[in-house]
Order: sequence, then structure tokens, then C-alpha cells
Amino acid sequence: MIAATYSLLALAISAGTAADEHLLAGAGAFRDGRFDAALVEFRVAEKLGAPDAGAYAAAALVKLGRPEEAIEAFASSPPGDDDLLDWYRALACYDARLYNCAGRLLTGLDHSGPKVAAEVAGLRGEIARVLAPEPAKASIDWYLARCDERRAEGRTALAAAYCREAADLGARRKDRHGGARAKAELMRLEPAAARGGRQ
Amino acid sequence: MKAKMLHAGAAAALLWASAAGGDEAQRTQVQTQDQMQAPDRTQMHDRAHRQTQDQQHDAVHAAMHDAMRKQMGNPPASAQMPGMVDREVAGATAAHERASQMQQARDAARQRAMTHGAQDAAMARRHGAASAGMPSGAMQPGGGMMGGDGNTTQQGAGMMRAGDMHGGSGGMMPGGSGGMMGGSGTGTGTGGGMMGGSTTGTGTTTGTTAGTGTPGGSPMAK
Repeated sequence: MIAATYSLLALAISAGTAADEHLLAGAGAFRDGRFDAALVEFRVAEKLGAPDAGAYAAAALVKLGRPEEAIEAFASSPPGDDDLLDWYRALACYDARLYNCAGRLLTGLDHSGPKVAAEVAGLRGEIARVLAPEPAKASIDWYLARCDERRAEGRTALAAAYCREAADLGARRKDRHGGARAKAELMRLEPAAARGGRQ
Repeated sequence: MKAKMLHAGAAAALLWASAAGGDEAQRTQVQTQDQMQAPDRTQMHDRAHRQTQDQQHDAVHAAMHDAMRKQMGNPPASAQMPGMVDREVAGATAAHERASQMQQARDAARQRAMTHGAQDAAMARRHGAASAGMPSGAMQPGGGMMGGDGNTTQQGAGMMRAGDMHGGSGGMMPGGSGGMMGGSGTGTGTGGGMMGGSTTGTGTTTGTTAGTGTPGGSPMAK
């Protein structure tokens, strides 16, 4: 009994150490700007059971210019635990043109350190500029179309993000264009999205 | 005496019992200690491992935070609403199509003008034959008023047609004027007409001299 406990413990230690090694290697690559190498390391660490590896992989995806995949990778961990990761999460939304999503995430970073705060202020200004006029119907329709496309591909978390954006934009118009359709889609998508990522 | 014996026996029994109980208790205590030692060791190991893991995790977390902070400086692209961009692209495409249609219309008008010019030339030839040797100019496309360059397709088709028409009359004029100005000799007149594009016109005037028109050059220079 005791021997079995020890062997399990040893296995856990070796797996944890291996995962940490990959995480460290990934962090080094990320720091050097080798985001593709960092992504590989984080993916391996994720397979070995490292809990933060998914979010780190998502940050690497943001830097690789793959915001939609990043949003899906971030979907496995809720926002609010780590300011820096939330910054990258906001960037993923911003790059996917989900400006309301990015704005919401940036609101939570008000009390971050000076460097993060400066970046947050810059990005918020850009978002405020693009959201200042009343959203065009064509823009809302674009988000709804994206929502449909991603849902058809089985990427429910992403589809939900697009539909939520359409609903947010529709709410800012007097005629609430697209709002009802977006909310109906969200009702279908959210339970699946809550279960996480791709399906 | 009997009672004394009984008391002594009972005391001995009690003593033995207590001694036996104490021994058993001691044995139980030792046994419990033994039993306790194994889980304690596991817990201690577990705790030490957790501490090591936490330290490792903290190191990884710190390294990743450092990396993420270092890489957060690059400014993102400027924000743009998707539908708006698409509309601009659609607008540009429509403008391109409109320009293409206008170009086609101009080409068609140019073709029509060429045909009309040929008809004019034919008519001029008929008139020339009727009026004693009035020459007809060979029809060539003129460069038009704005261009001065016969190769351009950007000029108005109407101008082309005018060029053609004047080209036709240019053929008529040089011979005439050459003949008139030359007097008794061979007269040379410059052809081409106002609008350019006309070429050699050869004709005889009033039966005295032959006039030779040279090809017209730059339309506006004439």
C-alpha cells in the first residue's frame, strides 16, 4: 500500500517536473520572441497536465497573430485571475475585432502596474474611437455571419463571442438591429460554450 | 483466615489484571505509534513535494510573467469596424466597374466615329469626283484635340470623329491652297486640317498646277 503511494507520488513528481521544464522552456522562447517554439512547449506542458499551460499557449497564439484560436484556448480558464493574462486575452478579442469583449476585459485592469496601465489606456482609446459612432447595420451583420460560420464549424466558444459582440453592438442602435437574432443564437450557444472550446 | 486468603487472592488478581492491562495499553500505544509513523512520513514527503512544486510553479510563473511583460509593448493595429471596411472595398470595386464601363462606352463611340468618318470620307470622295478633281483625303484616325497623340485611347470619341472629319477636309484643303498659292509652279501646301490626323491630299486646282499636301503633324501646331 505504502509502496504504491510512493510510486504514484514519484510519477506525479516526474510528470510535474517535466511539465515545468516545458513551461520554463516555453517562457524562455516567449521572452526571446520565438512564439512558435513557445507554443509547442506550452502545448506539450498542457498535455503533461500543467494547469496554466493552456493560457500561456493562448498568449503565444495572440503574438502569432491567431486571435480566434487564442480566444478558444483562453476559454478553458476564466478571466480575472491574472492581470497579464487578461491583457493578452483582451488583445485576442481586439485582434478578432471583438471590441466590446476587449473593452470589458480592460475594465478589470484599471489597477494594474504602470506599464500595463499605459498599454491599457492606449488600447481603450482605440476602442473608444471605433465604437464612438452608432454601429452600422453592415457591421452587426458581419458579426452575425461570423457567428453562424463558426457555429457551423463547431467552434462554439468563438461563435458565442461573435454573437455576443453582435448583441452588444445591436443594443447601441435605436432600431436594435440584429439584437434579437444574436440573443437567440447566444441562448443556443452559451450552454455549449460554457462546457468549453471546440466541440 | 479464609477471609484473609480471599482478600490476598483478589488483590493479586487485581494486580495481575492491572499489570496485564498496562502492558496491553503499552503495546497498543507502541502499535499506534508504529501505525502513525508511516502516514506521517507520506504526509511529510507530500508536503515537501508540494513545497518544491510550488517553488517550481512560482519560478515558472515568474519567468512567464517576465516574458509576457517584456513582449506586451508592441502596439496592436488600429481598430476598424468590419462592415465598414467591407463597404469601402465594395465602393472601390463599384467605382472600378463604373470606370471600366465608361471606358467601354468610349471605345464603342470611337468605333462609331471611325465608321462615320469613313462614310464622310466616302461622301467627300463622291463630291470630289463630281467637282472636277477635288481630292479626297485618306482617312486616318486623328489624335484629337486634347492629345496630339494618335495612340491615346483616353480622348473623347467625339474629338476623334472631328479629327477624322477634318482629316478628310485636310486632304481637300492642301491641294486647293497649294494650287492657289503656287501660282504658276508646283504648289506645296501643308495638310492636316485643324484637328490633325489628316494625311496627304493630292489634287488639281483649276487645271493649272498640281498641289501636294504633306502629312499633317501635330494637330494644334497647324
